[in-house]
Amino acid sequence: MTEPLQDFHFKSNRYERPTCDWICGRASEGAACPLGPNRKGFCRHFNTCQPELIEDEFRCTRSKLNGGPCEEGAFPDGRCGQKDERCQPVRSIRSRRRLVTVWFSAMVFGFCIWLFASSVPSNLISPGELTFQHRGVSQDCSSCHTAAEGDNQHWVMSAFHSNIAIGDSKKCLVCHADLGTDALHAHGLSSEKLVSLTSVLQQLPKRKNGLNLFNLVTNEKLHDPNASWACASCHHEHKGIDYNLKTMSNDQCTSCHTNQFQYVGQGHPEFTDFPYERRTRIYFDHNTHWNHYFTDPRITDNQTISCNACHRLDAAKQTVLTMGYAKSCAKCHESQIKDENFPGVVFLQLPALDLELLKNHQIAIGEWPGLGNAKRISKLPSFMKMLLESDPDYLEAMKDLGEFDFRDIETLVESQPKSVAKLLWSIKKLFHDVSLNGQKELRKRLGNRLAIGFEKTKPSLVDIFVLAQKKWFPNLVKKYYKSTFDKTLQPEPNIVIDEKNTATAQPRNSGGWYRFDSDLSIRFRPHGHADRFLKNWFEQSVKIPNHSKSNSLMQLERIFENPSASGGLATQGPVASGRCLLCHTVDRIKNGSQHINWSAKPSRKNHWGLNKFSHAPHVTSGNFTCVSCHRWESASTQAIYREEFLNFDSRSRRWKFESNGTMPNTSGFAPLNKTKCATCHNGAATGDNCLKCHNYHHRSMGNMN
Amino acid sequence: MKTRWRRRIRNSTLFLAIVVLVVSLFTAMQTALWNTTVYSGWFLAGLVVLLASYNLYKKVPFLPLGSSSTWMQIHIYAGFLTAIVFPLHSGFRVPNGFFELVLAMFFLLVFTSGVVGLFLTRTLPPRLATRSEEAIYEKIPGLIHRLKTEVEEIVFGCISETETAAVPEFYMRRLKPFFEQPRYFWSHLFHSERAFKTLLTDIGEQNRFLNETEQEAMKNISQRVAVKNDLDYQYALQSTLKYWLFLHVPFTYGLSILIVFHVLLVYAFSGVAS
Repeated sequence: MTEPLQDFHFKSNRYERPTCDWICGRASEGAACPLGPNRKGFCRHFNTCQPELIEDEFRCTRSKLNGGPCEEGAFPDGRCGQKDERCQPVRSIRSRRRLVTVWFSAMVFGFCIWLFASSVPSNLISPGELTFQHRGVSQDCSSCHTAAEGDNQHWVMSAFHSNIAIGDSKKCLVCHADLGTDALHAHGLSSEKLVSLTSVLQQLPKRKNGLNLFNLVTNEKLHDPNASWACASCHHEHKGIDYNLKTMSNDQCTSCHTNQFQYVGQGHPEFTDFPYERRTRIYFDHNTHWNHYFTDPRITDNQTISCNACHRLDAAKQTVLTMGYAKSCAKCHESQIKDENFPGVVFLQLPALDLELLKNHQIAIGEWPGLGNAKRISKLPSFMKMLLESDPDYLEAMKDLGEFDFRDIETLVESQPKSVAKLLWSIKKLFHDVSLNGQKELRKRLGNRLAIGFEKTKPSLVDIFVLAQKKWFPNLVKKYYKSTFDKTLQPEPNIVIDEKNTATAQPRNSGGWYRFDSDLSIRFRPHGHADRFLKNWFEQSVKIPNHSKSNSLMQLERIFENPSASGGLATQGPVASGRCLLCHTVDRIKNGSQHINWSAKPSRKNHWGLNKFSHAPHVTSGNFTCVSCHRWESASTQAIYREEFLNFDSRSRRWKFESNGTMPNTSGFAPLNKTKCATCHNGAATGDNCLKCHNYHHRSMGNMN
Repeated sequence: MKTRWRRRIRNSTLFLAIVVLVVSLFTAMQTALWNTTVYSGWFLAGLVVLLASYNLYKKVPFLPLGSSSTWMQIHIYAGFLTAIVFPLHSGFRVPNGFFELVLAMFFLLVFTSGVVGLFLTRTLPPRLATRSEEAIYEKIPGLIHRLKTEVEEIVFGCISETETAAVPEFYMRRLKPFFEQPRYFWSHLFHSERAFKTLLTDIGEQNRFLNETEQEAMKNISQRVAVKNDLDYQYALQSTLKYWLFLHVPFTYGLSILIVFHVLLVYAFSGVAS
C-alpha cells in the first residue's frame, strides 16, 4: 500500500467541477460519470436507450459515451433491456452555501418587514431606553419624532426629507419653551447677539492650545450665526436610563471659541464683572451697613452681626438669598416707612389759583378755594389725570393746552383761557360726580385700572372726596349744573359718611387717605412696608398712557416729590430712607417699558445667563467663608449713593434714579478674580469642565410646559 | 516566508496608521460638533460593502480587479478596521434597543466568524501538508469507498482461504462502520489520535486469535485503516475550511439587509439628512 491513492495522470484523472451546482450521485462511490448532472440537477447518464427497429429487429442505440450498445440488447417488443441506473445528483458545497445564504437573507428581510411594517410595538425598533428625565414623556414615538406622525409610508419618506432634525427639535421646544425663541441657535442667542458677541471676541488676541486635531477640522456651520442646531446635535437620547444628556467636553467648547485655553488658571479670561454683571434689584449698601450701622451697639443690641443675619442658602444650597424685609430690614426701616412726618403721596391736588388773575382772563370758574399758603403746582397728579381722562371736556382742554403749567396762567394766549376754564370745570365736575355717585363714579372713571385696588383702602377714598368737596366746594352740588349747563338740579348725594373715622385734615399714624387743606391735596400714607395699594399704584404708574415710556420713572419720582421731613437736603423726597424707590430699583426692560423690582431675587422666568455658580460645595466644605471670596472694595471707591442707582443732577439739584439695570455693580465688594477659583479648579479632583461654571443654553431650563 | 512577514509588517503598519487617522478624525469631528454618528455609520457601511464585495469578486474572476491575494489582505484588514469603527459608531456601549441589538449581534457574529475563519485558513493548511497525501476534497468520499471495497475483498479472500469467521466478524463489528464514512471529525480537527489509536489497539489485540493467513489479511487491512484515517484527517480539516463560510457569508448578507433598514430608520427618526 505504498502507491499513491490518487492518480493525477491527465488521461486517467477525471475532471472535477467543484464550481458546478450539482455533482454526480455516484461521486461518493468514486464512480462519478464523466458527463455529470445538468444545471437543473438531473442525471445525464443514460445506460438505457430507445431501441431502433432495423430490419425487423430492435437494436440497442446507447451512445459510446454511455457505454455503447449493450450486450443484452432490446426486448422483442422494442423495450430497452437495461435497468434504469440513473443516479440522484447532489448539490455541491458552493451551491448549498448559496442556498443557505439566499434563504437566510430572505428570512432576515422578512423579519425586517415584519418589524417595520406590521403593528408590532414600536419599542422593538426603538434604539433604546429614554433617559429618566424623559421617561415621563409619552411612549408614543410621535411625541418627539415627526416621522412617526403618519403611516409606514410616511416615515419611510421622512428619511429623505432634509428638515426632520429641526422639526423634531421644535417638538422638544414644546416642553422646553423656556429656552426661548432662539433656542436652536448657538447658546440660544439671537443671530444679532451672536454677531455682536463674536465681533467683540474677535478683537481679542487669538490664542491656541497648540496643535490640536480639532483645530484642523473645521465646521463652517459653527461660525454661522444664522445656523440652526438640532437638539440632537448635542443631546443624544435613547442611550439608556442613566445616560448623561448634557455631556460636553472642554474641547467641544474650544472648537468654536477660538480663544482657547487649558483650564481656569491658564488662559481663562479674567472675570471682568462676575458676579456683579448687573446691579442688585434691591439697592443695598453693604459697606455702610456693615461698617457703620452694624457696629453700632444701639442697633445690634450688642450682638455680632454676620452674613447669615440677612442671607441664607436656597433649598438646593446653590444660590444665596436674602432673608427678606421682615427679618433683615424691618427692625430699622419700618419706622422710616411709617414716618409720621412724611406728608404722604399726593393723589389729587387742586391747582392753587389767583382768582383775580382768572377774572382778568375772563375765566369764570365759580367757587374755588382761595390761594392761601398753598404751593402752586405745575401739573396735576397722575391719579387725578386718570380720573379726568373719561371727561371729554378735560381731553379737549388738554388737547389745546398741551403740556400746560398752572404757574404760567398769567401768560395765557388766544383760546387758552377758555380751555383752562374747561379744565377747571372738569375738575369740579369730578368732585361733583364722585360726591353724588360715590364708588360707582370712581369705578366708571378708572375703568379697567381698578387693579390698583382703591376700593379696599381704609378709610374710603369716596368719603374723603365728599369731605373735600364740602370743604373746598361747599356749594358745588347745588349750583354746579345750574350755573354751567343749565340742566336739572341733581338730588343731594345719598352718601353717609363716617366723619369720625374717615379722612381728616391730619395725617394718620396708621396710614391711609387724608385731606391736606394747606395745599389742597388728597394724600395717601402707606400702612407699612409693601402697602398693597401703593404698590399697585406704582405698577400702574409705569404703565400710565400719554406718557413716554422713558418718563415712567420720572412719574414715579414725582409721586414722592413732595419733601419729606426725614433725611437732609440731599436725601429728601423720593430718595429719603423709607421711600420705596430708594431700595426698589426700576429697570428699563426690553421693549422700553419699565419694571419695578419688588424682590431681590430675579423671577425664574427671567433667570438666564451663561454663568453659574453653586455656593453649596464651597461653603459646606468648611474651607471657605463668605469673606473668602467677597472682600470689601477699597475705601476710595466707596460711596453711599452709587451711580448705578442714583445720580445727582446739579442743575435741578435733585437725585435722579438710574433705570439702566444692566450696569455692573459690586454692592460694595471688590471684584472677584479667577485666582481663587484656579486654586482648586485646575484639572485635579475638583474638575475644570467648562460646564461646571457655564451654562450652554443662554436661558435656563427651569420651567417646563 | 520572508516575503510573507514583510507583507504582514507592511500591512499591519498601514492598518495601524489608518486606525490612528480614523480615531483621531472621529474625535476631532465629534469635538467640532460634526454628526460623527452619520459619518462613522457610512464609513462602517462602506467597509461592510467592501468586505462583502470580496465574495462578488470571486464570481467575476475574468475582470482585472487585482489578485485574490491582494483582495484577501484588504478583506482581512478592512475586517479588523470594522472592529475599531463599530464601537466608535455605537458610542462604546451595547445597544439596548431590540433592533439595534440584533444588528450588533449580526455584526459580532460576522466579525467573529471572520476572525475564526482567518485563524482556520492560517493554521489548517500547514497541518494538511504534514499528513500523508493531500487529497482533493471532492474525491475523498470516492477514495474512502475504494478503500472499503479493497478491505471487503481482503475479508472475502480470507473467508475463502481459511473458512473462519474471526476476520469477517471483526470487520463487521469494528471496521465496517469506520470505512463506511469519514470518521473522527472532532478528533482530527483538534489533532487528537486517541480514537485512531484505540482502533489500532483493537486490531492488534485481535491478532492473538488469528492464524497466519488471517494475520496477513489483517495486516493488509491495517494498512488501509491508516490510509483511511489520513483521508479522514484531510476530510475533517478541509470540511472545516469550507463550512465556516456557511456562517460567515449568510450572516454578512443578513447584516447588509439590516444595515439598509437601520439607515432608513436613522434617517427618518434622527433626521441626519439635515
